[in-house]
Amino acid sequence: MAEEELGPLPAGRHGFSREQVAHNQRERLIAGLATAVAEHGYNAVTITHITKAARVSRRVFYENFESKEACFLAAFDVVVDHIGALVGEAVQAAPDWPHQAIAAARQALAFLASEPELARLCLVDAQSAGPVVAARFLAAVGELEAPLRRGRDERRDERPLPPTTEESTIGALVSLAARKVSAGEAESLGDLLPDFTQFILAPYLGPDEAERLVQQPV
Amino acid sequence: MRRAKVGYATFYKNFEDKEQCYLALLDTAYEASARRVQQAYDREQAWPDKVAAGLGALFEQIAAHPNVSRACLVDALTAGPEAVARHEAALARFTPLLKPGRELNPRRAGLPGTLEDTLIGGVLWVVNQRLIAGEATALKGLLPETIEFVLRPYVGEQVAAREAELAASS
Repeated sequence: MAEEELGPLPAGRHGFSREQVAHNQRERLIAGLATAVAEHGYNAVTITHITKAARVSRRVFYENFESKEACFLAAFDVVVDHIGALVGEAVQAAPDWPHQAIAAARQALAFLASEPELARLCLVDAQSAGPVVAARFLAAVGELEAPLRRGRDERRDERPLPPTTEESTIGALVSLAARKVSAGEAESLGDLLPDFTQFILAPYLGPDEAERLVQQPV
Repeated sequence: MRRAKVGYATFYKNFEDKEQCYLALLDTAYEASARRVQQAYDREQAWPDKVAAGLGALFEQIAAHPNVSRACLVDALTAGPEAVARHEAALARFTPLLKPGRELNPRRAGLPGTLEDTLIGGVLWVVNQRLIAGEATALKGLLPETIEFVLRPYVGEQVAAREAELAASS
Protein backbone atom coordinates (compact mmCIF):
# COMPACT_ATOMS: atom_id res chain seq x y z
CA MET A 1 0.00 0.00 0.00
CA ALA A 2 3.00 2.31 0.42
CA GLU A 3 3.50 4.81 -2.35
CA GLU A 4 6.89 3.54 -3.45
CA GLU A 5 5.40 0.15 -4.25
CA LEU A 6 3.22 1.70 -6.89
CA GLY A 7 5.52 3.93 -8.91
CA PRO A 8 4.26 6.10 -11.77
CA LEU A 9 1.91 4.63 -14.33
CA PRO A 10 3.79 3.78 -17.51
CA ALA A 11 3.14 6.41 -20.17
CA GLY A 12 1.62 5.76 -23.58
CA ARG A 13 0.52 2.35 -24.75
CA HIS A 14 0.79 0.37 -21.55
CA GLY A 15 -1.51 -2.46 -22.52
CA PHE A 16 -3.96 -1.97 -19.64
CA SER A 17 -7.67 -1.87 -20.33
CA ARG A 18 -9.55 1.28 -19.39
CA GLU A 19 -11.06 -0.52 -16.36
CA GLN A 20 -7.67 -1.72 -15.20
CA VAL A 21 -6.25 1.76 -15.41
CA ALA A 22 -9.24 3.19 -13.58
CA HIS A 23 -8.96 0.58 -10.85
CA ASN A 24 -5.27 1.20 -10.54
CA GLN A 25 -5.83 4.94 -10.32
CA ARG A 26 -8.37 4.49 -7.57
CA GLU A 27 -5.90 2.42 -5.58
CA ARG A 28 -3.17 4.96 -6.19
CA LEU A 29 -5.44 7.70 -4.92
CA ILE A 30 -6.21 5.69 -1.80
CA ALA A 31 -2.50 5.11 -1.21
CA GLY A 32 -1.86 8.78 -1.98
CA LEU A 33 -4.44 9.82 0.59
CA ALA A 34 -2.81 7.61 3.22
CA THR A 35 0.56 9.23 2.54
CA ALA A 36 -0.83 12.77 2.44
CA VAL A 37 -2.92 12.32 5.59
CA ALA A 38 0.10 10.90 7.42
CA GLU A 39 2.02 14.04 6.54
CA HIS A 40 -0.62 16.73 7.03
CA GLY A 41 -3.38 15.18 9.14
CA TYR A 42 -6.88 14.72 7.75
CA ASN A 43 -8.21 18.17 8.52
CA ALA A 44 -5.35 20.02 6.81
CA VAL A 45 -4.94 17.69 3.86
CA THR A 46 -6.02 19.01 0.44
CA ILE A 47 -6.99 17.31 -2.81
CA THR A 48 -3.72 18.67 -4.24
CA HIS A 49 -1.70 16.90 -1.54
CA ILE A 50 -3.51 13.67 -2.39
CA THR A 51 -3.14 13.91 -6.18
CA LYS A 52 0.54 14.86 -5.82
CA ALA A 53 1.23 11.87 -3.60
CA ALA A 54 -0.74 9.62 -5.97
CA ARG A 55 0.84 11.24 -9.05
CA VAL A 56 -2.47 11.53 -10.86
CA SER A 57 -4.38 14.56 -12.07
CA ARG A 58 -7.11 16.42 -10.25
CA ARG A 59 -9.54 15.35 -12.95
CA VAL A 60 -8.77 11.70 -12.19
CA PHE A 61 -9.40 12.37 -8.52
CA TYR A 62 -12.88 13.69 -9.22
CA GLU A 63 -13.61 10.82 -11.60
CA ASN A 64 -13.09 8.48 -8.67
CA PHE A 65 -14.21 10.40 -5.60
CA GLU A 66 -16.53 13.30 -5.08
CA SER A 67 -14.60 14.66 -2.10
CA LYS A 68 -11.69 14.24 0.23
CA GLU A 69 -14.10 12.62 2.66
CA ALA A 70 -15.20 10.01 0.11
CA CYS A 71 -11.57 9.18 -0.63
CA PHE A 72 -10.82 8.89 3.09
CA LEU A 73 -13.80 6.57 3.60
CA ALA A 74 -12.57 4.36 0.75
CA ALA A 75 -9.09 4.25 2.31
CA PHE A 76 -10.53 3.51 5.73
CA ASP A 77 -12.61 0.64 4.31
CA VAL A 78 -9.59 -0.82 2.50
CA VAL A 79 -7.53 -0.84 5.70
CA VAL A 80 -10.35 -2.22 7.85
CA ASP A 81 -11.14 -4.94 5.29
CA HIS A 82 -7.49 -5.86 5.13
CA ILE A 83 -7.20 -6.16 8.92
CA GLY A 84 -10.47 -8.10 8.93
CA ALA A 85 -9.08 -10.59 6.40
CA LEU A 86 -5.82 -11.05 8.36
CA VAL A 87 -7.72 -11.52 11.61
CA GLY A 88 -10.25 -13.86 10.00
CA GLU A 89 -7.49 -16.10 8.70
CA ALA A 90 -5.74 -16.25 12.09
CA VAL A 91 -9.00 -16.91 13.94
CA GLN A 92 -9.87 -19.85 11.69
CA ALA A 93 -6.66 -21.58 12.64
CA ALA A 94 -7.30 -21.21 16.39
CA PRO A 95 -8.80 -24.19 18.26
CA ASP A 96 -11.17 -22.42 20.68
CA TRP A 97 -12.60 -19.05 21.64
CA PRO A 98 -9.79 -17.92 23.98
CA HIS A 99 -7.15 -18.68 21.37
CA GLN A 100 -9.25 -17.03 18.68
CA ALA A 101 -9.38 -13.87 20.78
CA ILE A 102 -5.61 -13.97 21.31
CA ALA A 103 -4.96 -14.60 17.61
CA ALA A 104 -7.23 -11.71 16.62
CA ALA A 105 -5.50 -9.28 18.98
CA ARG A 106 -2.07 -10.45 17.85
CA GLN A 107 -2.85 -10.02 14.14
CA ALA A 108 -4.47 -6.63 14.54
CA LEU A 109 -1.65 -5.24 16.69
CA ALA A 110 1.05 -6.71 14.43
CA PHE A 111 -0.48 -5.13 11.34
CA LEU A 112 -0.95 -1.73 12.96
CA ALA A 113 2.60 -1.79 14.32
CA SER A 114 4.00 -2.62 10.88
CA GLU A 115 2.01 0.16 9.17
CA PRO A 116 2.16 3.22 11.45
CA GLU A 117 0.72 5.55 8.79
CA LEU A 118 -2.30 3.34 8.27
CA ALA A 119 -2.65 2.85 12.02
CA ARG A 120 -2.87 6.60 12.36
CA LEU A 121 -5.36 6.86 9.53
CA CYS A 122 -7.77 4.30 10.93
CA LEU A 123 -7.36 4.96 14.68
CA VAL A 124 -6.62 8.66 15.04
CA ASP A 125 -7.69 10.52 11.90
CA ALA A 126 -10.84 8.44 11.55
CA GLN A 127 -12.03 9.68 14.94
CA SER A 128 -11.42 13.29 14.10
CA ALA A 129 -12.43 13.55 10.44
CA GLY A 130 -15.97 14.72 10.97
CA PRO A 131 -19.31 13.04 11.68
CA VAL A 132 -19.62 10.84 8.58
CA VAL A 133 -16.18 9.30 9.00
CA ALA A 134 -16.60 9.05 12.78
CA ALA A 135 -19.84 7.11 12.26
CA ARG A 136 -18.02 4.68 9.94
CA PHE A 137 -15.28 4.33 12.54
CA LEU A 138 -17.78 3.58 15.30
CA ALA A 139 -19.54 1.03 13.12
CA ALA A 140 -16.23 -0.72 12.40
CA VAL A 141 -15.35 -0.81 16.11
CA GLY A 142 -18.88 -2.00 16.91
CA GLU A 143 -18.36 -5.01 14.62
CA LEU A 144 -15.82 -6.30 17.12
CA GLU A 145 -18.44 -6.67 19.86
CA ALA A 146 -20.24 -9.76 18.53
CA PRO A 147 -17.20 -12.07 18.39
CA LEU A 148 -16.15 -10.89 21.84
CA ARG A 149 -19.62 -11.49 23.23
CA ARG A 150 -19.27 -15.17 22.29
CA GLY A 151 -16.86 -15.36 25.22
CA ARG A 152 -19.92 -15.26 27.49
CA ASP A 153 -20.45 -18.95 26.69
CA GLU A 154 -17.11 -19.65 28.39
CA ARG A 155 -18.21 -18.22 31.71
CA ARG A 156 -18.59 -20.55 34.69
CA ASP A 157 -20.38 -17.91 36.75
CA GLU A 158 -24.18 -17.94 36.48
CA ARG A 159 -24.45 -14.21 36.80
CA PRO A 160 -24.50 -12.49 33.40
CA LEU A 161 -21.91 -9.80 32.66
CA PRO A 162 -23.31 -6.27 32.36
CA PRO A 163 -24.59 -5.47 28.84
CA THR A 164 -21.92 -2.85 28.10
CA THR A 165 -18.99 -5.15 28.96
CA GLU A 166 -18.02 -5.65 25.32
CA GLU A 167 -18.48 -1.99 24.43
CA SER A 168 -16.27 -0.85 27.32
CA THR A 169 -13.65 -3.53 26.75
CA ILE A 170 -13.25 -2.81 23.05
CA GLY A 171 -13.50 0.91 23.61
CA ALA A 172 -10.80 0.69 26.26
CA LEU A 173 -8.41 -1.14 23.93
CA VAL A 174 -9.16 1.03 20.90
CA SER A 175 -8.67 4.20 23.00
CA LEU A 176 -5.39 2.90 24.40
CA ALA A 177 -4.11 1.92 20.95
CA ALA A 178 -5.21 5.26 19.48
CA ARG A 179 -3.38 7.17 22.23
CA LYS A 180 -0.19 5.17 21.56
CA VAL A 181 -0.42 5.87 17.84
CA SER A 182 -1.21 9.52 18.47
CA ALA A 183 1.92 9.75 20.66
CA GLY A 184 4.01 8.40 17.76
CA GLU A 185 4.47 4.97 19.35
CA ALA A 186 2.65 2.87 16.76
CA GLU A 187 5.70 0.66 16.17
CA SER A 188 5.58 -0.62 19.74
CA LEU A 189 1.87 -1.58 19.62
CA GLY A 190 2.88 -5.25 19.53
CA ASP A 191 4.23 -4.89 23.08
CA LEU A 192 0.66 -4.37 24.26
CA LEU A 193 -0.39 -7.90 23.29
CA PRO A 194 -0.06 -9.54 26.75
CA ASP A 195 -1.93 -6.67 28.43
CA PHE A 196 -4.59 -6.67 25.72
CA THR A 197 -5.21 -10.40 25.90
CA GLN A 198 -5.37 -10.45 29.65
CA PHE A 199 -7.83 -7.56 29.62
CA ILE A 200 -9.98 -9.20 26.94
CA LEU A 201 -10.08 -12.66 28.50
CA ALA A 202 -10.38 -11.90 32.23
CA PRO A 203 -14.13 -11.08 32.36
CA TYR A 204 -14.97 -14.31 30.54
CA LEU A 205 -12.43 -16.82 31.86
CA GLY A 206 -11.55 -15.28 35.23
CA PRO A 207 -8.25 -13.57 36.03
CA ASP A 208 -6.27 -16.75 36.79
CA GLU A 209 -7.06 -18.52 33.55
CA ALA A 210 -6.53 -15.28 31.59
CA GLU A 211 -3.10 -14.84 33.12
CA ARG A 212 -2.20 -18.47 32.44
CA LEU A 213 -3.16 -18.17 28.76
CA VAL A 214 -1.22 -14.94 28.35
CA GLN A 215 1.92 -16.63 29.66
CA GLN A 216 1.43 -19.68 27.46
CA PRO A 217 3.93 -19.84 24.59
CA VAL A 218 2.46 -19.34 21.12
CA MET B 1 -19.24 36.14 21.61
CA ARG B 2 -22.92 36.53 20.89
CA ARG B 3 -23.60 33.72 23.36
CA ALA B 4 -21.33 35.34 25.92
CA LYS B 5 -22.88 38.77 25.23
CA VAL B 6 -19.50 40.48 24.95
CA GLY B 7 -17.91 42.56 22.18
CA TYR B 8 -14.77 42.01 20.07
CA ALA B 9 -12.77 44.28 22.35
CA THR B 10 -13.58 42.18 25.39
CA PHE B 11 -12.76 39.01 23.53
CA TYR B 12 -9.31 40.21 22.45
CA LYS B 13 -8.56 41.76 25.82
CA ASN B 14 -8.91 38.24 27.26
CA PHE B 15 -7.76 35.91 24.50
CA GLU B 16 -5.34 36.14 21.60
CA ASP B 17 -7.53 34.06 19.32
CA LYS B 18 -10.14 31.32 19.15
CA GLU B 19 -7.61 28.65 20.10
CA GLN B 20 -6.53 30.44 23.29
CA CYS B 21 -10.18 30.83 24.23
CA TYR B 22 -10.81 27.12 23.62
CA LEU B 23 -7.75 26.08 25.63
CA ALA B 24 -8.94 28.24 28.52
CA LEU B 25 -12.30 26.46 28.35
CA LEU B 26 -10.50 23.10 28.50
CA ASP B 27 -8.43 24.15 31.50
CA THR B 28 -11.44 25.42 33.41
CA ALA B 29 -13.62 22.42 32.65
CA TYR B 30 -10.94 19.79 33.32
CA GLU B 31 -10.08 21.50 36.58
CA ALA B 32 -13.71 21.68 37.70
CA SER B 33 -14.34 18.00 36.90
CA ALA B 34 -11.13 16.81 38.53
CA ARG B 35 -12.00 18.77 41.68
CA ARG B 36 -15.52 17.32 41.85
CA VAL B 37 -14.20 13.81 41.38
CA GLN B 38 -11.48 14.27 43.98
CA GLN B 39 -13.95 15.65 46.53
CA ALA B 40 -16.34 12.74 46.07
CA TYR B 41 -13.41 10.30 46.23
CA ASP B 42 -12.04 11.85 49.41
CA ARG B 43 -15.37 11.70 51.23
CA GLU B 44 -15.37 7.87 51.20
CA GLN B 45 -13.24 5.54 53.31
CA ALA B 46 -12.94 2.24 51.43
CA TRP B 47 -11.24 2.33 48.03
CA PRO B 48 -14.10 0.70 46.05
CA ASP B 49 -16.50 3.27 47.53
CA LYS B 50 -14.09 6.05 46.61
CA VAL B 51 -13.97 4.94 42.96
CA ALA B 52 -17.75 4.51 42.80
CA ALA B 53 -18.28 7.99 44.26
CA GLY B 54 -15.70 9.54 41.94
CA LEU B 55 -17.28 7.99 38.86
CA GLY B 56 -20.70 9.09 40.06
CA ALA B 57 -19.50 12.67 40.41
CA LEU B 58 -17.85 12.56 36.99
CA PHE B 59 -20.97 11.25 35.25
CA GLU B 60 -23.13 13.84 37.03
CA GLN B 61 -20.80 16.64 35.97
CA ILE B 62 -20.79 15.43 32.35
CA ALA B 63 -24.56 14.94 32.20
CA ALA B 64 -25.10 18.43 33.63
CA HIS B 65 -22.81 20.03 31.01
CA PRO B 66 -23.10 17.93 27.85
CA ASN B 67 -21.95 20.65 25.42
CA VAL B 68 -18.85 21.65 27.34
CA SER B 69 -18.11 17.96 27.95
CA ARG B 70 -18.33 17.24 24.27
CA ALA B 71 -15.96 20.10 23.50
CA CYS B 72 -13.52 18.83 26.12
CA LEU B 73 -13.69 15.09 25.56
CA VAL B 74 -14.68 14.52 21.93
CA ASP B 75 -13.52 17.64 20.07
CA ALA B 76 -10.27 18.03 22.00
CA LEU B 77 -8.81 15.04 20.16
CA THR B 78 -8.95 16.92 16.88
CA ALA B 79 -8.21 20.44 18.06
CA GLY B 80 -4.46 20.43 17.64
CA PRO B 81 -1.46 19.27 19.65
CA GLU B 82 -1.92 21.70 22.55
CA ALA B 83 -5.51 20.57 23.16
CA VAL B 84 -4.50 16.92 22.81
CA ALA B 85 -1.73 17.40 25.39
CA ARG B 86 -4.15 18.98 27.87
CA HIS B 87 -6.67 16.23 27.29
CA GLU B 88 -3.94 13.63 28.00
CA ALA B 89 -2.87 15.47 31.14
CA ALA B 90 -6.47 15.64 32.35
CA LEU B 91 -6.91 11.89 31.89
CA ALA B 92 -3.60 11.18 33.60
CA ARG B 93 -4.96 12.79 36.77
CA PHE B 94 -7.26 9.82 37.26
CA THR B 95 -4.44 7.26 37.28
CA PRO B 96 -3.37 7.89 40.92
CA LEU B 97 -6.98 7.47 42.03
CA LEU B 98 -7.07 3.95 40.58
CA LYS B 99 -3.56 2.75 41.43
CA PRO B 100 -4.26 2.08 45.17
CA GLY B 101 -6.68 -0.62 44.00
CA ARG B 102 -3.66 -2.76 43.10
CA GLU B 103 -2.92 -3.19 46.80
CA LEU B 104 -6.28 -4.90 47.25
CA ASN B 105 -5.46 -7.55 44.67
CA PRO B 106 -3.60 -10.63 45.94
CA ARG B 107 -2.34 -11.27 42.38
CA ARG B 108 -1.18 -7.69 41.93
CA ALA B 109 2.14 -8.71 40.35
CA GLY B 110 0.18 -10.16 37.43
CA LEU B 111 -1.85 -7.01 36.72
CA PRO B 112 -1.01 -5.37 33.38
CA GLY B 113 1.06 -2.19 33.65
CA THR B 114 -1.36 -0.42 31.32
CA LEU B 115 -4.43 -1.32 33.40
CA GLU B 116 -5.22 2.22 34.60
CA ASP B 117 -4.79 3.73 31.12
CA THR B 118 -6.94 0.99 29.66
CA LEU B 119 -9.76 1.46 32.16
CA ILE B 120 -9.73 5.23 31.79
CA GLY B 121 -9.87 4.71 28.03
CA GLY B 122 -12.88 2.43 28.45
CA VAL B 123 -14.80 4.91 30.59
CA LEU B 124 -13.94 7.70 28.18
CA TRP B 125 -15.17 5.59 25.29
CA VAL B 126 -18.56 4.91 26.89
CA VAL B 127 -18.92 8.60 27.80
CA ASN B 128 -17.90 9.80 24.34
CA GLN B 129 -20.33 7.52 22.53
CA ARG B 130 -23.19 8.95 24.63
CA LEU B 131 -22.01 12.53 24.06
CA ILE B 132 -21.75 11.98 20.30
CA ALA B 133 -25.23 10.45 20.26
CA GLY B 134 -26.57 13.39 22.29
CA GLU B 135 -27.56 11.02 25.10
CA ALA B 136 -25.59 12.34 28.07
CA THR B 137 -28.61 11.70 30.27
CA ALA B 138 -28.19 7.95 29.65
CA LEU B 139 -24.92 8.03 31.62
CA LYS B 140 -26.71 7.81 34.96
CA GLY B 141 -28.17 4.44 33.98
CA LEU B 142 -24.74 3.21 32.88
CA LEU B 143 -23.05 4.18 36.14
CA PRO B 144 -23.46 0.82 37.96
CA GLU B 145 -21.94 -1.24 35.16
CA THR B 146 -19.17 1.28 34.60
CA ILE B 147 -18.30 1.01 38.29
CA GLU B 148 -18.21 -2.76 37.93
CA PHE B 149 -16.03 -2.50 34.81
CA VAL B 150 -13.45 -0.31 36.57
CA LEU B 151 -13.39 -2.22 39.87
CA ARG B 152 -13.42 -5.80 38.57
CA PRO B 153 -9.72 -6.12 37.66
CA TYR B 154 -8.71 -4.93 41.13
CA VAL B 155 -11.17 -6.44 43.56
CA GLY B 156 -12.71 -9.27 41.55
CA GLU B 157 -16.16 -9.66 40.14
CA GLN B 158 -18.07 -10.26 43.38
CA VAL B 159 -16.99 -7.10 45.16
CA ALA B 160 -17.27 -5.10 41.91
CA ALA B 161 -20.81 -6.38 41.32
CA ARG B 162 -21.83 -5.57 44.91
CA GLU B 163 -20.53 -2.03 44.51
CA ALA B 164 -22.47 -1.74 41.24
CA GLU B 165 -25.66 -2.88 42.99
CA LEU B 166 -25.13 -0.31 45.72
CA ALA B 167 -24.83 2.41 43.08
CA ALA B 168 -27.92 1.13 41.27
CA SER B 169 -30.03 1.27 44.41
CA SER B 170 -28.90 4.73 45.56
